[in-house]
Amino acid sequence: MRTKFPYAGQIDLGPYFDAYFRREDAVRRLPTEAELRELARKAIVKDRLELAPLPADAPAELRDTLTLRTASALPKFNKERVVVTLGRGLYDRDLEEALAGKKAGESCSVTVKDQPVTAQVLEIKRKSVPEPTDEMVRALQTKDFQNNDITTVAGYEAFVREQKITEALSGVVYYLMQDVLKDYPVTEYDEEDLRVLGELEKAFFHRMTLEREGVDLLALSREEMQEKMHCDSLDAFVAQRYDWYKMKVQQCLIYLNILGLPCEGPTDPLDHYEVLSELQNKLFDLIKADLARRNAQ
Amino acid sequence: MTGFVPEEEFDAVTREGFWIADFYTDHCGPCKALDMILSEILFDNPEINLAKCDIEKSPAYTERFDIGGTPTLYFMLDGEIKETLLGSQPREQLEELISKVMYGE
Repeated sequence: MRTKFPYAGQIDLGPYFDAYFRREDAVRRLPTEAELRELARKAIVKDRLELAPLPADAPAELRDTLTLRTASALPKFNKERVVVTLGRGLYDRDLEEALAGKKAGESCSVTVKDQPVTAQVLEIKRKSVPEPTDEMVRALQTKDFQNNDITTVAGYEAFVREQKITEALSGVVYYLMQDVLKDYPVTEYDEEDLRVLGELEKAFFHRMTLEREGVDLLALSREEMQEKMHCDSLDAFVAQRYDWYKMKVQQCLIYLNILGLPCEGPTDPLDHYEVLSELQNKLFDLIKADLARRNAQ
Repeated sequence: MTGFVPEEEFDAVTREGFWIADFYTDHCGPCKALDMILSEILFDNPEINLAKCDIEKSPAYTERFDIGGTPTLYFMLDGEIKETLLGSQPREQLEELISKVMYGE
């Protein structure tokens, strides 16, 4: 185990979790499978929606799209023709609620900023939502986090799951780490460590660009490197990123001490480029367990 | 309407109505997060149009619009750029800007 790194003892995350959950905007649960599937469905079919006019005697419901004529002293509400979808309050929440239940030709009035606003319904359209298909997914031309094309509905659902769960957990980690770092600052860095991290990253970028794009970064001219990576060479690129390496050392040390792992072999950031991602995944598991425990109480 | 728009078609496509132009790359994580949020907004508001602008497939976008990073969003009304936004943002903040550009203040 490397002894020059501080904080050999384990950091207890408990008090930091407690402080985090006192925040109003804390993530208190992860999205459910049903919510994730619904998100995926919306993303797949969003450009396949068809809006069809409702019969004249059918009242508008929330989520219908209305064409209105509005009248008011406020310019925003004084329009010959304006298209509004009811429900999210993009035009005006009170007016949208008042319009729900109205039929084409009917009017309603509300007060906005102390001014009367009248809206007449000219037309009501309702969207029909098709079932998602693999063909729709292929048309989206989305790549997953490994840069592979997503070609099936199931693949897209898995992509959305990874995206949203990672997003939620990353938010928790961000706030936890802000507090942890106040108590456990890392301010001294070994230049040799930073150089080693640079070499690891250089090898990583070289390998990934070769595998994914067939481009050998070490064989590019200065002009080609400028166009591709906005610097003269791969060495210059790495030299610009010392602040990131400092942050990586800091994050790895804190994660190791939270997780109670030694800084050696497969968990030594100076040996393996991907250690930070692996440690973060372990930290995600810890947070998931804490969320589940709190929700079970 | 949502679609992939090459730079040479951009003006014709976004000439009328309200458009969000999303300048992105395939390998940009925040672009994927933003795309998910935009998808929800578009599903709930079919009157909003989205032009997907891949700045690697159409590099001319970067110079023409001085794109300094991805994702960058342009909010446009009848072909005129009204607001710009750099980076992924929460849904509420995006809806606030959409409302302001589509309907006025």
